[in-house]
Amino acid sequence: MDPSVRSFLRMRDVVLASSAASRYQHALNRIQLQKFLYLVDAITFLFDIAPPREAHRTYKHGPFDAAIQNAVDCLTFRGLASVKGVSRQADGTTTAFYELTNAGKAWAKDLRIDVATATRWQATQLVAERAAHGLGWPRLRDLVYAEPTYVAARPNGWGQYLHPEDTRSTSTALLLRTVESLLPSRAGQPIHRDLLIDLYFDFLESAAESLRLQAPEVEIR
Amino acid sequence: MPFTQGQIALLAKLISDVGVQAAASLGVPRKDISNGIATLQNLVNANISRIGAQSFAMVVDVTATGNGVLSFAQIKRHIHAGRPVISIDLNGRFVAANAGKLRVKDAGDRTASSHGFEILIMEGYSYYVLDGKVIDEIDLNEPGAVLALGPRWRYPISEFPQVLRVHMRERLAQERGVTYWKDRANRILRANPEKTEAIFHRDLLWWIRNYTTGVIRTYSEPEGFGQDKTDIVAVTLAGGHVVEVKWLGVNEHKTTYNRKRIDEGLIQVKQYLERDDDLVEGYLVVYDGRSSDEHKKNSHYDQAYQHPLCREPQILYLESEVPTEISARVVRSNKTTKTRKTRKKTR
Repeated sequence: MDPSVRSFLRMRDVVLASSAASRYQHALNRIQLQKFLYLVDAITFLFDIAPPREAHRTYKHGPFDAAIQNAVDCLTFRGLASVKGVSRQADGTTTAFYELTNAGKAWAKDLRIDVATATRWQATQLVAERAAHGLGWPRLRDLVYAEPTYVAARPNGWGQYLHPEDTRSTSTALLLRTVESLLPSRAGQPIHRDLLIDLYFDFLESAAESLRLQAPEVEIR
Repeated sequence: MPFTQGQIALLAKLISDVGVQAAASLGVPRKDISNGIATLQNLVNANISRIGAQSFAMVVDVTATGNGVLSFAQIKRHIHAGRPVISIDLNGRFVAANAGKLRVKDAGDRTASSHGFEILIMEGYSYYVLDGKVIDEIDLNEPGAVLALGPRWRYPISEFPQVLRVHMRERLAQERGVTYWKDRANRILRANPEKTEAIFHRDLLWWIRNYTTGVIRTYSEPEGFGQDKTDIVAVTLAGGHVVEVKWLGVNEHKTTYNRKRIDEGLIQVKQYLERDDDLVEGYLVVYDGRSSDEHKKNSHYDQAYQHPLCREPQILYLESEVPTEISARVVRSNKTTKTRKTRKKTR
């Protein structure tokens, strides 16, 4: 995919993510944005949306897609997003929160009602709802660390491409298809998508809790 | 295996939930059906002492809107009026009361024809029946009772003989937690208040639910529980494992089953495996209440009835002697043998 198209699509995703988070009075930071969009990409196959072909890779703080950070920089440069609360951490990293400006909010409004992006908005909203009402925004990273694709790829080191939508290997898609096949359903009737997503986040939250109990870690922002 | 044991255990915990299964099958929001089930459970739990031997069914009608929260006084009134099948909406509000039979089989038939869900309260148990299958059952007097056994007692369902061995040792031997002898000395099995088959079926189902690994959910066909045919299905990632339970010997109603019962069980397992493509393995478990001699001599079966996916039938002898009696008998028999040998030598 053309890098500029990839960057533009991620700009759209970042605007939708920031808009969804703002509904819960939350501004996403750099790492939370990465994790948030990873979870959105993981469930979009349920909405019949094709995920980006080469996006997330295993990296220092979990899955990372360079295009997301590029998109944030572009949005900020173009005045569609603003950076708040910039601070330097003890480990040398910089944290910052991203919020949409009025121009960014206007674009978000268009994207929410646009037929081409309305479905993605639905998926984004669901992730925001669970982040806000589940374990909370600070633990988005824990949810991603419990995601099956990442769990399987993490031991192989940095730089591994992650395809949570691929049912041919351990992934979110395989997990959800397995759940679908194991649940009782009336003949011919598919399991409702909302139930699958609800169970998926229950799974991630429980797995995150058990991982935390096994190896408590210091919060990385 | 694409998922870790921990991930499979989490999946099992999520999927075995009654509310989740009902939401999936009925196509209603999980929160709504789970709230409705919780309301009904609370109603039953708050009135356990008043329920006693009374039986009734609570049918969840997902399309109706009831009026007034269902109370136990209301349930009692309808039971006495011969209308023990009570319909309620998702919020536990009363919709209607109707006449109807209250066996597990009847609840199975009702829910199978309506693709519905109901909770049957009967003989101290609540049965959760969904679309023709019993997906859970709770002992009202001991809700959530689980033995404190370590993980080394847990075996995967694929190692079924081991599962049965531990179940026999920890539960059935010396009737720990379950009573099946009516007359231990004469080896007569109980048939009251539950049918003989139901006694073994219920305990094995409970064991599989709580003490096997890799099982995502279990259900049983409500034609079972000793009323007609019976089976347990344990669903794993690899597919369903069907278990048919039978017994041999004589019970207090003088019902007698002999070796032919093993063949009948094998035929049933064969039918299940042929009927349902989701089943990947079949097991026949036969609890043998006959004499030790009879068990040793007449426990063979006709292999022609054994489906290729059916494992070797497990014919388990039910001990009727406590360990001290067994050792005393062994000592006696050893003495007799020695005496005979000594006599032979003397001659």
